[in-house]
Amino acid sequence: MNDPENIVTAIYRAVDWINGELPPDRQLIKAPETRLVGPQSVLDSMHLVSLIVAIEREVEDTFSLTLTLADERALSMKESPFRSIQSLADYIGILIK
Amino acid sequence: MAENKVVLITGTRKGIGRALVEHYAGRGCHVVGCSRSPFEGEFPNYRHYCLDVGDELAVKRMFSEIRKHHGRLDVLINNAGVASMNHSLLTPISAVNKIMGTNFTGTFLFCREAARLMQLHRYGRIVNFATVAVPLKLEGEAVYAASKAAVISLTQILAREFADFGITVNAIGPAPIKTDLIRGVPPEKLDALIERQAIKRYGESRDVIQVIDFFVQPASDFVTGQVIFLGGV
Repeated sequence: MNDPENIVTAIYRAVDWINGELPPDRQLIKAPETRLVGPQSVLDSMHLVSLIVAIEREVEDTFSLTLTLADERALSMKESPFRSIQSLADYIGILIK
Repeated sequence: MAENKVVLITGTRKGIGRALVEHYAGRGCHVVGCSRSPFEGEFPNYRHYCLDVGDELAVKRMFSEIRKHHGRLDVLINNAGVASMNHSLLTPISAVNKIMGTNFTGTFLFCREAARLMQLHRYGRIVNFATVAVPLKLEGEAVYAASKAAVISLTQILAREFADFGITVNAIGPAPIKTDLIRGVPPEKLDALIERQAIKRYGESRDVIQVIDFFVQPASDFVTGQVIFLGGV
């Protein structure tokens, strides 16, 4: 159930939701390498917050568990788990293992 | 306020919280409430949860159920609160933690979870509870007033953080109302406090409801980060 594919699918559902909030020329591409933070990301800080909340919601619905993504552990990591969709999926995999 | 709005109220077992349940359920809203003890009696549009407002897991579980059941939340009224009148030199840390846990941590937790749900529809109204003890700087209420001062700061900053989501955050500061919250306060202290108000009488639930009705109207979408104190303090 909590295999990497299901995690990425849950993230993509959250991406679909946030894309509804973004203008057509700033859509977030559903691909593992898509950047979520930094100059290459299409997200501003508010949309990043909304995306993280949406991902937590989708993970809760998919795996029937609640988790907090932006906790002290995530914020203190050498490389931010919010770099890309893939790095975030990997981090979620660790959290729900 | 229109029918079918989903309204969440904390501390609904008695006092102002219960009056708010009667008011909004009576107007056809779907009302969800919570308190540490069961709710006595029934309202057709009311659902009650027994929980401590500072219990993160229980609160998150309740919000998850609200999302699955209603799909939205329109209004949050953070009414739950505790008070303790005592000189600071005689106040145990257990009392400080209890007051901060309910009044501040509980309010923060509910604001956070409510905004997560409200931002789905880019609409929400949050009303927090302050107190006249903050501007009046009442001796004997240092911890209670400090916890509510924290609620005021929280309200004003969340108003800015949540504005882009279409969520307003305001606070009401009631004057003394004859509820359990002031049961332990000596009558002469209450009389002295009321003497410092412009309008010298006890507050009533209807006074609180009047202000909350204003804050939660859809038309009040340009009113945020405000604190209204009752009684002319």
